[in-house]
Amino acid sequence: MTLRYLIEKEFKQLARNSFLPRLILLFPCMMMLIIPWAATLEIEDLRIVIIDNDHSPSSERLVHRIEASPYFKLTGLPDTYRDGLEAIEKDRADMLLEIPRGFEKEQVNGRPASALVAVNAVNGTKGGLGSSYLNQILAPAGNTSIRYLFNPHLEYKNYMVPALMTMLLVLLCGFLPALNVVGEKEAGTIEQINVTPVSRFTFILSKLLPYWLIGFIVLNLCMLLAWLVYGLTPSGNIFCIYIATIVFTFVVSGLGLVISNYSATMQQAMFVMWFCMLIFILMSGLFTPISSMPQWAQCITYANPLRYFMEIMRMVYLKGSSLTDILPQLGTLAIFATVLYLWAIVSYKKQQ
Amino acid sequence: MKQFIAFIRKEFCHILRDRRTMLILIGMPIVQIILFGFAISTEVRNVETAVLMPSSDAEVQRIVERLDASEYFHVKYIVHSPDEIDRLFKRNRIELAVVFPSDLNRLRMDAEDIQLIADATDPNLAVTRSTYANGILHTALNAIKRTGTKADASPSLIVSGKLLYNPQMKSAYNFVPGVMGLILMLICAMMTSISIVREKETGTMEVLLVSPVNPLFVILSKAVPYFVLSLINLTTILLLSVFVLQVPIAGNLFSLLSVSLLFIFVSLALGLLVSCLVRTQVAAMLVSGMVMLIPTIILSGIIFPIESMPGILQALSCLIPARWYVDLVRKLMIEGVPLAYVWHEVTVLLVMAIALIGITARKFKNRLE
Amino acid sequence: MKVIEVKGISKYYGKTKALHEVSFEIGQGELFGLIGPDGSGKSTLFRILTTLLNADTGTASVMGYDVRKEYKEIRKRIGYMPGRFSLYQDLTVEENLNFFATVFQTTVKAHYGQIKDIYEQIAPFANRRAGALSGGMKQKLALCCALVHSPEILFLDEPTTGVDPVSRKEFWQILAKLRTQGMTIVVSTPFMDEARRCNRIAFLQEGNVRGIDTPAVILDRFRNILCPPGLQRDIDNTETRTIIRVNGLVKQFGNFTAVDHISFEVKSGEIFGFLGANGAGKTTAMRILCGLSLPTGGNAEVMGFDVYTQSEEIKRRIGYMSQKFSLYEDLNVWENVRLFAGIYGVPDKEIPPRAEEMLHRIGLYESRHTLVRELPLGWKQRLAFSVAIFHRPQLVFLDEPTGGVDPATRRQFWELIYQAAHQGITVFVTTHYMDEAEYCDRISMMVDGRIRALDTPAKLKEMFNAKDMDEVFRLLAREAKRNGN
Repeated sequence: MTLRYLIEKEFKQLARNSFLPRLILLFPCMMMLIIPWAATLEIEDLRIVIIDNDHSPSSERLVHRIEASPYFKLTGLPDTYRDGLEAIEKDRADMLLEIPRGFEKEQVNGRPASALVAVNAVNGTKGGLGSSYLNQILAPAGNTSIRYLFNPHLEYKNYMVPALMTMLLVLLCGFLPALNVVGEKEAGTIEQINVTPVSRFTFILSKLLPYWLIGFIVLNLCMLLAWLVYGLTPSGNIFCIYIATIVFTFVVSGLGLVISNYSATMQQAMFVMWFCMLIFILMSGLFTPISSMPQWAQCITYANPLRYFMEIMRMVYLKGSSLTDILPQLGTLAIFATVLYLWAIVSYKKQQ
Repeated sequence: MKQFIAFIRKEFCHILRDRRTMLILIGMPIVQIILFGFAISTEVRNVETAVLMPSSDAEVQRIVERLDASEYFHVKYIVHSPDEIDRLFKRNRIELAVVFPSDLNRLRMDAEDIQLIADATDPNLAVTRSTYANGILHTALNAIKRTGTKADASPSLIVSGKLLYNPQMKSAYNFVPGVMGLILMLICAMMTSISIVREKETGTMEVLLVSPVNPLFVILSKAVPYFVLSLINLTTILLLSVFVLQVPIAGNLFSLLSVSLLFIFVSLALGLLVSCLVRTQVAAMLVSGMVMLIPTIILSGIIFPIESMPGILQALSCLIPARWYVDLVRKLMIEGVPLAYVWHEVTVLLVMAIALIGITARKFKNRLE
Repeated sequence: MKVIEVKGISKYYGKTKALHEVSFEIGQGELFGLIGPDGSGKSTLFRILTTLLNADTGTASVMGYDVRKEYKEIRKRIGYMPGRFSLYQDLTVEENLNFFATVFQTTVKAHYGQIKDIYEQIAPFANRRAGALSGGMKQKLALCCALVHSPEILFLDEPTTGVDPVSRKEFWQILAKLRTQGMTIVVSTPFMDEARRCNRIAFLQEGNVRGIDTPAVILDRFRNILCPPGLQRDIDNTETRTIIRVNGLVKQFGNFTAVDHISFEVKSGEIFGFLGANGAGKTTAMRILCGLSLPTGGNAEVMGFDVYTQSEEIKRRIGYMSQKFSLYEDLNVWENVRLFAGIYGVPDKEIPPRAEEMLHRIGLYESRHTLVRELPLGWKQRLAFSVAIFHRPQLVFLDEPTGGVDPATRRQFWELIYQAAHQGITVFVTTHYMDEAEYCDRISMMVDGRIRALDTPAKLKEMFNAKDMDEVFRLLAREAKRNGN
């Protein structure tokens, strides 16, 4: 079994490398510990300035109500609308509320009073959520009862953590093999392998398997951290995650190897990989929902293996989906894995 | 001077001959702008919805039609048992479910009796989606009620909203500055450092050091082509965002450009610093990738708002040049505030530039080792 | 007048001693040679003198300027070609030359006379990228780049490794011409015929200067190391089975014919020398026979297998050691042996005893847990060769296996080759050392992609009426048209 010797070699090289083992262990830890805190789109402490032109008891009540809300932080009470606008321009406030003169009188008369809200909408999410929160305070209306499934406390971290795991798997299991074969090309050792009777099939497999194991280690490390730090455990069966990861690491490291085979230098491999990853991550639904994309973009996402794994991770982790639930996604991933592996074999040339 | 030109010509040859890398460098901003501009959004649109209707009475039917007719929701499944809803959620088929009580009519069409179930894996979206759904259901219910009984009491406060700077709530307004920061950082810092370290690795640096050329010249000549490349990218991004994404440049173009030049300068200095510190290309790539790019993406407010981060991370983000630049571009380009309002950010970038160049000059070695 | 003075220079890399208390002086206009085995500290010495490294102790001055403090003055006045002179692979030949000329504040035209002889050989490839040149061609281009300006002192660290004998001779003629113009030249070399052309040489060993004197004195005093006696081979080759059969083989790259209808046969058990100038097509032909590259026309059989269709069968039965040392540097000696033994399907149980025996034989058993990266070049070459024949192939291909090492090490290497040949392994070898050519049973001389002569060394000498192989080579290589215009 030549495969055994080749794999042994890959592992020894990996272990001898002064940098990679540390990268494989430390990088996920760093990312898992920092990103969920940084990567949050929870909107709180929106800075608001209120221009109270009425100075009446009811307008003051309104000001207090806003001040008491967890979403807002009152940063000033300017006198004029112009001053308020300047506060936004100078980045001392995100939004302003102008209460008109005669606000109380109108209310007492039973007529609807009016108020002006102006939001800095450069950041769309912030602007949108901010104005809808303010609306809720200003004009509370009878609501339908809403049940938030799978994440009842609306924890943003629960949303980020499975996505983050996916990203880490992609980064480590995609970039490292991409650099591997080019590295051998640059060192000249690939030529020595090319004159040996090792088959292309075995050679590529020996390059893939170590990353499969690395992916597994990274995944377990991430899951452990998710449990210890964020108290998040998969609500579905852990074996579903394992099976999906096995297939998925094959997909990304296969992709890495294909890129590596076509590249002449490490730098080139790195950039091509970086470019692919960028598109894959953006089009995977990791940060933004796929259903919000226009039709043509949604079609593209079907060709994105990341999309399927991302779905699986969130489904199993948060929704508790079972193996039968994730079967369509898993099947697609398996097809991707086979195609990429075959492509990697074909694109690796032993003979010019 | 002749030597300097020869150096620059050589650098351009390097860049132009590696077609694949160059295509990526030029194409990356274009693809990013197109993806961000047209493909990626957090708008509520086509939310895949299931409706649980125990009885198919006409009024409920009308509400559902109303929901489906809106551009926000797409009623994909009409089911008859809660189990089915559960299964659809678990199979990732739906993002929202509306549960009507079996006797809506008898319950006087009260909104409280209708239950919305949202997939809250993405909490923000869940809130927005259910708010939208709530609104539609409300109007629909009111319309039905109005035909029967008298109209409800009107609300006590009418709020008129005004969205400053970005009235159509385009996400482009938010990400264009981010893409600018990211691309300039990538090209100036990462590419410059890699290309210098490559000369160290291949050994040509040895000859250049021994030559009568001043070593600082060698290093500076490396920065020039990437400076040009980043100007090209800057122009591409600005042109694309003005003419394709219709994001106007509200502020002064001149101050925007001068701020960009300052940022390019900072990034180049950062790249030069990295090249002084590392020995191999792989190390340069990993250092610029892991230590510079990832923090830039995460901590500079490109995707995630800095205000929502914990204090430590907010403090950390102050160290990232892109954070200040992205802020500046947002203000100068989109909000159109005058340069005088942003002297604070400009000063920070200036200080960074001076500090980085100072450190680089100190770390720069005239010898091997 | 002394232009270089070195006093008590020592340099350590961590714990390893690179140079120890080295002192010498070089006079104006001298051609000073540095010789010594790989790892003796020659390159470190060059780097200290060219102000690229600071010595740990001791002082050195070049043209009266201190290397530590007045490095700027020195750098204005010297020229340097590092051992691993690297060109810009993505620039063309012409662009590289022009660039280095400009860097050294001169033009190619101004000094064209100096480099003419060598440059004319690479001129046909002026528009080719340096990365696409053959190894020897790259070295010639590097020589041109180093000679393009006229500094007061020229430092050359093994400039002719991998260069064919004719070009080496031309190179040394240029050096001689430069010296008459008053230039001081410091050069290191593994070739003893080159060392003889120096005024004085210093022999370095393990960081110590063992002697400085005229070449005749040094070569005589250390003749065991520097001029080992030739090897005797008792040919008991009675077998006449043909192991390689090549007929009208052609390989074209675009409109350039690298290998032009060559035909020859190699008999089993032979040591077959494959000689030729840089760019004559040796490596290309060899790569076809190993199954690394497909020919454009003609046919070739190795051990009865066709190179077009049965390259994997061939690979199973041959050993290969390439120009570029290609064991895994980040694995240790034992692991490399194990890996390649495993790849060639040596049974598990046999690997440890055979590996042990082999390592004892080549004297690497003690270092079996050392990373290959840390071995001296000569040891690496011996190991690479032993690994290439570990699975007992019938045929082994060696592509310039002994580049850049001293005569004693090369002789040791050839002892290994003889041992292998004695066991019946056919050896197919390319080399630029003409003393090694004499060790071969039969030699083929390639000129411009064709085989010009093929016979035993003795017969060739007789045929060309030459006193040694060096002369034969020169006579033949002079016919080359491809390089000349």
